[in-house]
Amino acid sequence: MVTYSTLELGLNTESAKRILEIAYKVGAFLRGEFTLSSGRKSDHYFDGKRITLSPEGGYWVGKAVFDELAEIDVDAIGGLAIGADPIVSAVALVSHLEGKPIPSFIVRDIPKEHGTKRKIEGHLKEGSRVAIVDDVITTGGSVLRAIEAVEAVNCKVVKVIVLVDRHEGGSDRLKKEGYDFTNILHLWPSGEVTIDESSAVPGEIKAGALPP
Amino acid sequence: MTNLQQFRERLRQGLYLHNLYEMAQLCKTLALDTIHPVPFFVMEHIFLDIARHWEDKPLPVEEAKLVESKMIKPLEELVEGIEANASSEEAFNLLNRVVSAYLISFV
Repeated sequence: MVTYSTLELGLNTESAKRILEIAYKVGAFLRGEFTLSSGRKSDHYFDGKRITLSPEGGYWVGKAVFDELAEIDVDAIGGLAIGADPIVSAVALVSHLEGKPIPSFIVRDIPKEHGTKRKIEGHLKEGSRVAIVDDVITTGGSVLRAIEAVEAVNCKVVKVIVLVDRHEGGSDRLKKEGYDFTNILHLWPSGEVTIDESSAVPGEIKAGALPP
Repeated sequence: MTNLQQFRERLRQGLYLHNLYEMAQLCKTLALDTIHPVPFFVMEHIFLDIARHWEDKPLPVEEAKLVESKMIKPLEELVEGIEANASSEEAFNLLNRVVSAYLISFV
């Protein structure tokens, strides 16, 4: 069994490498013809929850996001259900272990049918500086819905972090709108997965880039 | 563009997660804005239920197409019937077809 001393690796690159290893191990990248939530068609699919809901993957994602926020003054971290749920929980846990607790919250995708009609559950005070997370970004719709919900309660989004950028326009859209965006892994339209933007060669599919 | 026109336009775009939520929201608005809310109320809940089936899982194109092939036509016919002020009985029959298509697809 591989064991890791507590939070010994400070570099997100190291965390990203570990997360990529875990992604392959848990079969997070799938081949096939899929309809994405945005309606777009894709010949590959990233199932982020296979990583974020695995004990090891959840830890490393939580750590990578926490490390990314180390130099940023944030009051809370949250994102749109369900993709962001395990990530915000992992970050909250890691932040507690690190002695720099970051409260977390979840944004419901639709208002509750009954009851308080609250869209945001958890710890978010009006006027907070917040980080928004998600497991994957394609066109950016999910992230923008989370942003819209927190901005509606006068919060300022100071950072957006996603586990995988599919490079289908979402990250560019966020950057254009002025949000500080970071991703841990890149999933290119070719199907190639990288941890470094510069290492990608658009259009090239590396053998074995995706598990069969 | 009226809410009903928006809904028809959305329906033309097909069934996928974000669109299902948008159509459910439009149906809710339309149900609150008519003296005959039942068809929109039922459609809202059908869209939300399909969304729950498809939420956060890989959705094969084939599966999405199969459901669309069964559901889009009855949905369009129901909306056309509502627009044409169909009688209660006609509207009920059209709604039955939508519900049947949903049940065949998911239950």
